[in-house]
Amino acid sequence: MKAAQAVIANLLGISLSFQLVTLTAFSADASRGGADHWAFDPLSELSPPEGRTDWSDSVIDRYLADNWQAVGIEPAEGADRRMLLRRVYFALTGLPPTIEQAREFLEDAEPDAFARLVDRLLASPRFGERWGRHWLDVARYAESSGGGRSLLLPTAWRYRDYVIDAFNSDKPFDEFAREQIAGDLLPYDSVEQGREQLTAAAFLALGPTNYELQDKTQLEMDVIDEQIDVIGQAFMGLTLGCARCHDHKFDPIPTRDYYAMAGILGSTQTLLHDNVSSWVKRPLPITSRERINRMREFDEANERILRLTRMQKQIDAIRLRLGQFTLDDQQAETIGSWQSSRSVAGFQGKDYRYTNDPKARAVYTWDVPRGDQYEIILHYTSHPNRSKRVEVTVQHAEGSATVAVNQRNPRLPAAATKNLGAFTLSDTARVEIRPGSDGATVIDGLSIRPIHQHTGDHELATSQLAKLEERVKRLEAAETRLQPIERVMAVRDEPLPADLEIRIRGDAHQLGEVVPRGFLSLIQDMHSPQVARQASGRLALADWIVSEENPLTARVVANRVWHHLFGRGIVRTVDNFGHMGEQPVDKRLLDYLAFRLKEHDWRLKPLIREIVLSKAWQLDSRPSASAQELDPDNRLFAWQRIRRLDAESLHDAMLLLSGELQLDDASPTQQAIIHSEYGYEFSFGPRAVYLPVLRNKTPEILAAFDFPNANLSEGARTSSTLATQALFIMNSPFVSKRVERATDRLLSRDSCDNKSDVQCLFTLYERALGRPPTQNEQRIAIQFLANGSDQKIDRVLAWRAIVQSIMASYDFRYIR
Amino acid sequence: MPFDMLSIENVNRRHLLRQAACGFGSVALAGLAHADAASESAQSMSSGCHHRARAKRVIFLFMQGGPSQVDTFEYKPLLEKLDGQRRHFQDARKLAKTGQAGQERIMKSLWKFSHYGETGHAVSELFPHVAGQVDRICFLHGMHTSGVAHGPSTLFLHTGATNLVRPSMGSWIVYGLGSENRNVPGFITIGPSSANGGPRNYANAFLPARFQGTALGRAEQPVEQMRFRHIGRSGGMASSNALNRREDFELLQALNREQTARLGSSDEAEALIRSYELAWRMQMHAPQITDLSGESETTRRLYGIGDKPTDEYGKQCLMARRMAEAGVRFIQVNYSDNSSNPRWDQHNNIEKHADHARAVDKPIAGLIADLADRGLLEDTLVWWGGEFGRNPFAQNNDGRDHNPKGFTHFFVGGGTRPGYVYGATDEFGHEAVSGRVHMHDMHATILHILGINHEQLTYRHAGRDFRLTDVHGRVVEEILA
Repeated sequence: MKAAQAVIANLLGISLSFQLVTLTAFSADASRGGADHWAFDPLSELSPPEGRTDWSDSVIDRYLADNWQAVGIEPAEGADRRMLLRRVYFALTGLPPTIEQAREFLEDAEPDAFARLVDRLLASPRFGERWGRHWLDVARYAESSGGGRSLLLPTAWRYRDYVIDAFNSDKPFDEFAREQIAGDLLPYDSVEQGREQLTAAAFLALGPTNYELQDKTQLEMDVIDEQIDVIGQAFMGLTLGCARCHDHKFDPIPTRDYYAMAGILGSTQTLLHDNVSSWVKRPLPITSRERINRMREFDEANERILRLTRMQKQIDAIRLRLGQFTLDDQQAETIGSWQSSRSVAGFQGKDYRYTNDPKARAVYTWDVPRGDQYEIILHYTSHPNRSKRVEVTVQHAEGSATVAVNQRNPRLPAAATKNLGAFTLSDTARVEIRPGSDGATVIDGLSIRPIHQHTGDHELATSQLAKLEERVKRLEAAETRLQPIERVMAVRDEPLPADLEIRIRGDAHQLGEVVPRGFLSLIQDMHSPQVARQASGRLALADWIVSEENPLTARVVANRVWHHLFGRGIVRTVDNFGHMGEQPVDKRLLDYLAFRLKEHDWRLKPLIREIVLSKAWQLDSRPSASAQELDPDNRLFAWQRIRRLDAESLHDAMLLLSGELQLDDASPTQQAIIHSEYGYEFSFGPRAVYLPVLRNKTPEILAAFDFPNANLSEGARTSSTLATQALFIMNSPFVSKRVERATDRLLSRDSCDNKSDVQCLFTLYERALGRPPTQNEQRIAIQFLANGSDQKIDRVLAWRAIVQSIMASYDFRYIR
Repeated sequence: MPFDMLSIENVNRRHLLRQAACGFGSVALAGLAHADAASESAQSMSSGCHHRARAKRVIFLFMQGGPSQVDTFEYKPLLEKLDGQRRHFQDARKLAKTGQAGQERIMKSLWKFSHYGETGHAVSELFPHVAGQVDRICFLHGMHTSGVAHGPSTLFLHTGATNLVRPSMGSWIVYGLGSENRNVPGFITIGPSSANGGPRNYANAFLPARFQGTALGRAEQPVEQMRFRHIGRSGGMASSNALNRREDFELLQALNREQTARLGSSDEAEALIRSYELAWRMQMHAPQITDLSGESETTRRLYGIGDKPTDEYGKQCLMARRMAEAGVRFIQVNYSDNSSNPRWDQHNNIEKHADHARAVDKPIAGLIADLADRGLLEDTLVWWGGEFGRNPFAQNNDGRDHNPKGFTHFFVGGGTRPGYVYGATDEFGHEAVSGRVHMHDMHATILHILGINHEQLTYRHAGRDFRLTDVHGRVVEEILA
């Protein structure tokens, strides 16, 4: 207890700007590289101080009050109800209350009104959207790989939804951790559970990977490094990456430990190698009924293919008899660069070819079986990007003829033909294709059909052909697409797990001694899970991370919860619990929270509830004079921190004010259809958490307001106030659109039509800021409107300026 | 100068930031993060951090795709003699993929080399205008780098890492030196590509957000259409709004003041109000640097503006000069596009190099001459180069594959030795054999020129101190005047 107070006094006694220097110097000197570091100690025995019992029953408050007393500071006053209401809505759901929601609470005079409000918010699906996003920051979640050639990760959104659902259902954190590290290895009772667990295993594969790296050994070691880093940071608040090249300089993590873990991840397959590599995709489990249906569909499809093949053979035979044949583009001679493609369906043979080079050429030549008149039909595939002026020259017995072919079809990409006409052919015939310069030119084949028939059974054959073609058409039309088996990005154990060699100075190609697979030697004892020889060890790793002997995980999680609620952690370096991180301002309090987390079976909601219901959380954001003087940085949480709205909350609040926000209580599962990251246009409506996270393209509204870098695991976002943000709010099309909609909504019939300007202003303030305007605010706005009308400025435009100013204002952008 | 130069607001604070910005105080900077986040304070450094600076700013002419050294600035007569013959080469791509290399067919340059200037350096006919400036140029023929594919090597060029997420060099420089003029961004990239790392090439990674590069337009966008985001020429609130803009802005600030008065002010509220004031000033000033209308016809012609092949890059280069004058620290002028086989990437048909050379030659020469005329070469470092070079042997009959093992970059000004040639590749032009300069060394050297010790410019993140040069980097003293 003395020690705790000494730490606090030490913290408060040193000047603001050099706090960190002194602190880190202090901790590094005290036990450089040693294992005797507070974070590695077992959770301490609980001994809540008596504190000021008159003030609060909450254990949390007693710890805090004890520190305040020791230092001699007074807490702030309690926050007023409107302030508290707004604060708790943003903290738990990321949204402000609507006018109706506000009224419900403000008119509830029961003493437990706030506790019931907290329960309502914790039960709301909005909770998981808010708190799930906190975890997505840590999981460096994204839907594209970033790196040199950014690849889209089309099933990553399932992982996002898994996280949101996990927070909504208050999945115990130990289970949550186990599923993300080894979900693919866990047994399951129901198909749903199996799907969830496999989806969770995307965690290891979601990192920023440069799949085109040509040195594949290097690539594998980089992926392993990223995985070790994110596991260390997300679950234990440790920066393990340092030990890749040398023993950790500050924490007791030798390189051996790093490669012991690397062996586990090296025995886990994440990558599929190719020139540009890719990731492991695994089918989601399906029910036995689904399996039977699929097998039936599969059999039917096979049957259909067999029949079609048979009929096609008959058709070919009849055509041959009739003297008709088709040359595939493979048989054309080409000059210049022609690329093969299969993207527009319905082509002849195995593919078609295209070029964008006007100087390219393609030539079909063939020996004419019998001098006569023939129809020549050109095959291609149409598309909006095609040339409208492809020139096709037919050399026939009487000279040559050139036909222009328009291959562009603005509506529908499809296989297409063009009848070039009837020609007299003898000996050798030649058709040359000259591409246009206004788009792509396609070659897919050439059909030659005699016009006069010489065979006796001509009529019979023609009618047979027509019938067969009709049947083929019908059969093809009846074809139902097989439901693709859903595959998700995940990992799997290598068939032959193996230990890994230390890489000397981190060089992927410099092999040192082999290290048996395992975890951090620091936190292991005889009870620790063991890596079985025939397994990668991932499951054991997951078990170890949430095991009794590892005190880090519970502390890290409890500290993050505190951080999200108070704006600062008890340990302010939320992602670094090592020697280079900061000390907890009160270790007893942190351990108490960790203890409570475990007591609630690792469920977060009861812990959040307890913290939010403490008096400390409900304090005003204006410090008492003593706290302002003695603890200006608020290390002791004697008042509430004023916080800037984070990117998503700002986005959501703007859309809520404009009436555009779509809240969906049903399963929010949705998948953005993205063809390429470059040029992707974001559309707005759902909450920001559902916007696709692309590593090379972040929506400006998020990027401007410190949306985390999806390449890095970040437990604490920066919160800057920059001129670029001001410019965004003043000039961006995003904000303009929200302002227009919000103004239309405000001035529409049901809210403010036929009402006075002052009444409109009240509606606007209640909606946007959750309070009525002050006298002065009314005066400023009314004066502004009056000036506008003197200058004959449209009332709507004047109101837009007011709405935008409110969105840009301090009370909208900050929570007190 | 058309821009308001910085006024010093708070000497103590500035002093603190100055230390913080210069590396050894990186921990102090982290400690300041919360206070600093609340206010964007201007920092100015005119004389370097750790030693005397030779240059205050950099203009980087990025040749995306990898121009061929043996077809441009490093003459290898042996290629003509041995053209078509097969020899064993340690090809970087084959080695990375298979661990083995083999026989390759030597391919001579399609272009004639002639000697230029007093120094008599040989330049191919691809760059006749740059050739006219050789006496001002310091060539580095012994460049080599990491990565073989565009993505990794482009990221390495910009961030010093092929795969790991690291801050861009421009961000490091602005972090180290601050900005000369707080009404314009300190790090601007003109027409950046969205491919091969895209925004990561000018992103701040773990450095604070204010050090990120500001993109002006994007690759393949006509220069006329390039604008800073959210800074309209007319400025002001709600673009669809016809109100007097100044009045709108005053309304906003009046409401903000009223809100802070209601419950008492706070650091956060004051930072917010200041951020709007700064935004207003930037809005007034930034559009001027992209506005070329005041440039004389002579100047425009010097840069090749008005002639179709050189018009676009010429305008970009002229904008770069205006940015240099305005005090932007790091200006990148991209010759790039958005494809995964970028501009100079001639795997076949090396003849296309001629199109690219034509587009950039006159603008670059014009920029060098113009900077020299205006005395700006004294404290501006011009840096030219791509993510790697190309092989002296053939690929796909008439092309050349990537070559990270030997290629050319060049410097002009900024206290580098004019008319100087440093380093060389082997007799074929394949691997750097003398005066070898790894991209890490390049980074260290540029920081050195700016007065920064690359080993001391650090930032603490995730428990350790990071550097642009990681644990590498040698300052190439030999090229300093």
